[in-house]
Amino acid sequence: MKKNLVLVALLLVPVMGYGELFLEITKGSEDPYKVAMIPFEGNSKVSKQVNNIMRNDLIRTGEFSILDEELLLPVKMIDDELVFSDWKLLGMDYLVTGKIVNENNSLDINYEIYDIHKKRKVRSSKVFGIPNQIRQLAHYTSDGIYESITGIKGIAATRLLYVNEIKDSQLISRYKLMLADSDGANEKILLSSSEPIISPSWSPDGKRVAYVSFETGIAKVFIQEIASGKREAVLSKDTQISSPSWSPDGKYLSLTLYQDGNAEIYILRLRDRTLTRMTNQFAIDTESSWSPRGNKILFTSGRSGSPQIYELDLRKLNPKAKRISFEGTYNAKASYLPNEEGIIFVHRSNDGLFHIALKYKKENFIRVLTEAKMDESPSVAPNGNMVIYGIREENLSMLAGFSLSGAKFKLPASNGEVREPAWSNFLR
Amino acid sequence: MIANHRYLQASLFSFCIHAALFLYIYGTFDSNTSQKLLISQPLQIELRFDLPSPDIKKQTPTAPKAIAAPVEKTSQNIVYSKATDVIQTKQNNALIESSIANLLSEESEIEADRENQEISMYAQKIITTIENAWMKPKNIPKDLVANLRLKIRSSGRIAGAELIKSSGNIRFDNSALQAVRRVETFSFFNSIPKNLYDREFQIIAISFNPS
Repeated sequence: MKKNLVLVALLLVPVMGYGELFLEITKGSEDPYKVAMIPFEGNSKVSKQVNNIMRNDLIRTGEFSILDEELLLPVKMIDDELVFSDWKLLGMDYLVTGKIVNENNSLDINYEIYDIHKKRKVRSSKVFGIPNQIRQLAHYTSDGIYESITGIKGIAATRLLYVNEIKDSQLISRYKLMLADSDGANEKILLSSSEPIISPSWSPDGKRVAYVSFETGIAKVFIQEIASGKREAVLSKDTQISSPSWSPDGKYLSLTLYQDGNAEIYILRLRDRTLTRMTNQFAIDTESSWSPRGNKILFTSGRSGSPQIYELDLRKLNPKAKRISFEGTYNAKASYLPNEEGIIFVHRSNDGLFHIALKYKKENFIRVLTEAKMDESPSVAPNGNMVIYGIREENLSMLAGFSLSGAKFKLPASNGEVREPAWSNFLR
Repeated sequence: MIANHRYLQASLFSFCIHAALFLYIYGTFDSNTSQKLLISQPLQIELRFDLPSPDIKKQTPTAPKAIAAPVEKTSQNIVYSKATDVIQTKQNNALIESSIANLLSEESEIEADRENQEISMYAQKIITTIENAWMKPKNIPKDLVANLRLKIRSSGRIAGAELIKSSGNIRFDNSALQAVRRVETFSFFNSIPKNLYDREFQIIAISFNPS
């Protein structure tokens, strides 16, 4: 009987929360993590390259302040134990050391992360591959460091799609669909055409891309396998089709079709190419994009007289478009943050300039995040912490990015104009 | 009627025995102590609670000692807090319940006060430790609150952290979990008395609420 009573008491405790101390944390630091990165040991040329890639990857996230290389101290070890006191005096939170082993046609990066406050190693890891994957391996290492310190999955090893336009001496344009690492390096040409290419979009598995090409004279959506280069038009219809967006399960494409006299949103089932019309409105409806769980789509519509963002709930039988942007007279090209808590979009401010803005679902105001003049087509990184978008500088289009944690960066300029970036999903 | 007569006899006999016993216990037959029924000398009292703790033992002798100081002969009384406060005295059977009760209540008040103070001191230490480890993300929605439940070993090591209320923002939730991960161990836990740890600090809930 007594035993039963004890049991009942134990069962009641968690339900009532009885006796549980409840503490409130109200203050936190907004400073970035201070990290000292010792140049990795190994072949000096390889090591330098790896160090530069990692340093840039980490700085771009906005979460770290990396100690200048000139200020680094020699790493002292006593009995295989790091001497932490020097680094504590420098005010560091973390120390990263590593070694690159390049032999027998394989390349290994071994790295260690030390927590200066806890005075111990918090990660010891190894990435390996072949020597010509050196950039990839460096990005993997960056992601390992980022994850280990912030607890968030890193995006250094993800990739970007964008469109490159180069004019020759007779001012005739050549358009290229490009694939590159998240830092803009390691560019590859997926398609080259004399006619415009627009709106590239990633399949969720990162193996295929969809885009709009004008090669037949009108806008047509193509799907192309990255590895093989094999491509096909998704619909043989003789109508303009644009702005493809892949559903998160990879089974559907949302598209804009002009077959009804004006632009309407359709969903295409890839298995049998069945089309389902989603909007029916005299105004233009376009730029659809899927929610991370695939149950909603966002699109831009002019039905209120100015471009605004609308949301369709696909779980409903005859979904009604719900307007979700209200500030100003131009809001367009929206995409969801990874957990659907908000949207990133292009917003025209009162000064008439176009900026990238963020609106959280539960807030009734928007946050303008960029300050150039003609910011356009934002694409959100899969961890939701970074956005890449197009800017215009000295009459030239190029790519820039920012992290929600505050870092801003420009991608190294390719020749000519670069625009319409699309950020891939996680690729590992 | 015969039966009733016997009962009366038996009850009379029983009454006599009980009366004698009562008088004996009361001290009527004891010529030495019968005149000293009032408490003529201070008593040193040791309070022993059902869950003896080192702290209580340390504290209790101080107060009564002050009263006892001028008297040579002091007696040690042991009081049990449970059920019917049983009083044992070596020298006499003086009835001192009222004074014991006073002392007891006073003692438990002091004890409770001291304990609350101790709890809030350790709670503050926990808060400061976590606040120092927490990197609050930027550009997050207003009014986010994330609640965690921590399971903490008596060594201070955080054995488990569970998100019991998500803020809805991945980065915010993550920063809270990461702060706890960065703390890993509360170094001051070994100074928390065992009973206090058992009662208050094994499982705690913390709320990250910057607004």
